[in-house]
Amino acid sequence: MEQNKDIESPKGKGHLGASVMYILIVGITFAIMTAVFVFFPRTEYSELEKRDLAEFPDVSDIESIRKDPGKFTASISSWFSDTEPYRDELMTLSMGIRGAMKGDFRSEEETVSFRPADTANPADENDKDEQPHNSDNAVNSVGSESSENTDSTESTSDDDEDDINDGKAKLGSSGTIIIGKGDKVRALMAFGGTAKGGGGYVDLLNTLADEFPGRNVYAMVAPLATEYYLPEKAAKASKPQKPFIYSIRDRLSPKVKFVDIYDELLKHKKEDIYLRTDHHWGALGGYYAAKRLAETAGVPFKGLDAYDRHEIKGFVGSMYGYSKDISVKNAPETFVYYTPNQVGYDAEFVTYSLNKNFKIIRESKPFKSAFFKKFKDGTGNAYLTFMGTDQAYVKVKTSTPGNRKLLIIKDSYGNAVPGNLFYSFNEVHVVDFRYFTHNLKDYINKNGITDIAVCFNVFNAYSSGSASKIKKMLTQKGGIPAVSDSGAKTDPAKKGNASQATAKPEDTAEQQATEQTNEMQVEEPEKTEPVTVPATPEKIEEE
Amino acid sequence: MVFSDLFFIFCFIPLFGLLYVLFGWLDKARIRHAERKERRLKRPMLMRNIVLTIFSILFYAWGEPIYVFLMLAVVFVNYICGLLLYKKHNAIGKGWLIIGIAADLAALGSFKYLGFFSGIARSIGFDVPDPQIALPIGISFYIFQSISYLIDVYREDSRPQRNYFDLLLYISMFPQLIAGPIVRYGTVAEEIGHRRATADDVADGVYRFIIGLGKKVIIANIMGEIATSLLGGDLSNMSAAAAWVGILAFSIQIYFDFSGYSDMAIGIGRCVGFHFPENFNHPYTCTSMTDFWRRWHMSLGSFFRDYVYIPMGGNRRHQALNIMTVWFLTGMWHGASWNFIIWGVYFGLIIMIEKYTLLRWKWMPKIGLYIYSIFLILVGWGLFYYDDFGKMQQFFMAFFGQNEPQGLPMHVETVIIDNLWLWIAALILCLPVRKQVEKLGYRMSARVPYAGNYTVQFCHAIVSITILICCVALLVGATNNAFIYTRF
Repeated sequence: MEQNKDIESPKGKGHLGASVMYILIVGITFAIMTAVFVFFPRTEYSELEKRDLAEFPDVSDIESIRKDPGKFTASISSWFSDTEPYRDELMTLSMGIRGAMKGDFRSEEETVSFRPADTANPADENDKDEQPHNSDNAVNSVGSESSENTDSTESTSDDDEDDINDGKAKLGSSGTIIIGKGDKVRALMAFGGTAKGGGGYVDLLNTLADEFPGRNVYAMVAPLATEYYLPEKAAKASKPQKPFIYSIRDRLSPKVKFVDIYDELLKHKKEDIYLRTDHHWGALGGYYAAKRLAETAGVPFKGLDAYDRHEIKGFVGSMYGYSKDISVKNAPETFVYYTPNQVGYDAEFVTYSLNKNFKIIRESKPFKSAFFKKFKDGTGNAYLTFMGTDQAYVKVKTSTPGNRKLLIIKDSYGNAVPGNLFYSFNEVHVVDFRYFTHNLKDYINKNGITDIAVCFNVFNAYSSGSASKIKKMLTQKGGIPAVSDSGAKTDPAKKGNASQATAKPEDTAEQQATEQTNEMQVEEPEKTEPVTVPATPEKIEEE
Repeated sequence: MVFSDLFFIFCFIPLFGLLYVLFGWLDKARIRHAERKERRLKRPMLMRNIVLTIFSILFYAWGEPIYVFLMLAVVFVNYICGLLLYKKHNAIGKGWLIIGIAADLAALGSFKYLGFFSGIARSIGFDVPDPQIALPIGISFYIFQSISYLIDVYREDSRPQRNYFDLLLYISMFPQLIAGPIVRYGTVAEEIGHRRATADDVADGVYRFIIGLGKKVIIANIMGEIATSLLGGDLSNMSAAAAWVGILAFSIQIYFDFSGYSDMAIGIGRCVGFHFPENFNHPYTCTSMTDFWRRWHMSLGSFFRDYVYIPMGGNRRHQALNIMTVWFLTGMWHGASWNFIIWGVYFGLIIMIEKYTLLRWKWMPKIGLYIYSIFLILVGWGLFYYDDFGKMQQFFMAFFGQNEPQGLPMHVETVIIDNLWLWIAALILCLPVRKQVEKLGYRMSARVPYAGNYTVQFCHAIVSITILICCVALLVGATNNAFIYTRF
């Protein structure tokens, strides 16, 4: 065996000195890297992946260490490799290396790359049995809705999982699809559902219509960009969403009004209705969805000339972290949004604080704040322009006359819709399907809501878990379950300042953030709005 | 813990290196002290061996805190048996040898194969429970090393180890503990007590380690992703392209994974003065399956050759039986699953047939031999990959073009295009290219004293740092990073 030795260093004159030189060069480089990895402050939050990184295991919990010491040592290892200094920079380098391996010689329109979802992602696997919409999950875990992940996992034990199980595995194994080249790169999410899914959503809408006779109930299902931009060549990578969306329409009771977003967006396919680098649609997509809703509801709706146009340049959204594809990062886009300029509106927020486990621990008092938050160029959070967060419910009073009062129950896709309806309704209420602790029935009655819309993207419309959360809101007593608030984090963007709250879209979230931090020192604890997902690039820890 | 873990690279290695060097100074001080008193130190490596043993135990315990006691016990049994059987050319010596080997095999059998056997028993109607034992990592490797120790001592190729901790060091030594190469006792017996690591050794060792790390992290991990995406999931309508490209990716993965691990093991060994045997010699350039197994996992092949095949009679007595036994055991060694046994027997049959055909046909053109070998290797990895026979069948249906022709489906095209340069690099590196390039470099540098050596080592340093940085970047955010062979 010895005859097969790997080549060894030459032993000619000066070999020892040369070896010493090698050891010194590599040794010093390695020592520097070690020093950085061991002694530099560890990264706690990944901007790129939009998630909190692993924490050092609890050393004081002797009992569980004794029970499973292997798990303890493993969690130290994974903590170490999850929180390395300069994590995002290293990941960017890693994506750059992967990008350099690409054979990039095809013509532009042909460029399609398919990236299977990270099958090795442990979080994904844990969820597999409980989460009906894995694919969405994976996106959410890097998107602004990371909380949904854990949140719904915990409550799904009592969720009915009827006909959607068949779609589950397929959703989990599909992934992202990158199309186009250069600055036209577009990252798409694969949809794996069939026309049979969405029973929970249909049932919810029908229940709402029965519960609230005399009020309008609208079903709004937003397709993913994949539906409009997936090239023929990649058609197999994602299931068509049209059959699913229209099967929902066909199953709704006649009392529910179906808002045909699919058709509306199809008409405007050539415009920038979707973000290229984010898993959400763009402001324009939300605008057309709102337009169709207004038409269905028979309320006035203004053209874009009644809006001011704003731009956030250099935006790279969540699909970069999700697809881990450098070409997405290299194709930043301009995030365009529109703020109405001929109507008065006044937004009142109630925000929720979450603990580490995404449990709601506190509700803020109502406070006025800007509906549209302003972000700087180059932010990765541009989609948070609309209301700044999902962890809140918002009530907007408009100067539009009449008594039509709209409640939108929504996921994050729905965030882009209400800002276009201030010309149409006297009041617009926005409730997120994950964060609402009051009794929804009481809320609707108390506020005299006349129109109720449930606006979901296809993933959440597909998942019975999402619909059953809303169903629970109809019967829940209200109030916040007692949970310890360790590890709650502050989101500065949502705490407004009364003087800024009156329809001045130019309020800067950054500005608010600064004021907020100054205020925090003197404020009572319940006045601060800690949440887990930052609305501004800066994350401020509560002391 | 695995070698390609950031925790290993940036915590374990630096700490171990630091303490090993510090305790090396202590050893030197002891030696000087002894020299002054004009005594010869019996155990000049004592301090360094203590560090090495403690870190090895720590290394093992990090992943398998409970099973570390199993290893300590196995070493103890072998230690006692080794002492008792040495130089006893009678039934007593043989008795202790048998007891020792039986104890080793019992440990292996109960922790690795009990579930498998109980499954077989259940399938033929016996009501036995599934023992639900998790496989202790690396047990296949260290049990085989223990057996080699007993046999080497019995044959008086080596003297028995009088010190338990030195034997423990041999068995538990972290570089080769969990995934080989299977270092035979005789190979390192001397070096446990007396060894040197010169600057050349350290430079070569570090370079070797980094090359191995690169093989694992840059090539094997990404190829593994590709293999999983193509070979996993629903296979009912797998395309031929997916089957071929997928199994090719797996072939590349398993070679770079395992040989990368061996490189890292050999490299760390070199740094502390051990010379472990080589485990690979460009297996994919083989010209027959017989040749393949002389190049793949060589330490396992030679183990079976010296401890099973030759004692059974080799090619002198019932050769066919000997070959099939060895290959049945080779398959079995890889895992408690039928597909590994089939895989072993598959190679056994081919190698037997080759003895009477291919190896005698001198007229076969080389290119034909290469194609023949690669094809059989790919089929072999197909058997190896699927422990689910339903899936294996579906895979081979696709592999042999029994499914509807689909051309080059997009997801297959994507994994090729997206990683084009990696495919090219990996395929080239399956050939002995690096060896040739380095040899050429050495030959040229030899003409220029001093400057030549410095140039070569400077190039090595650049290559090392580049690979190191790439690996660290790729390891950030890596989720699936375990070595394949640590499962066996």
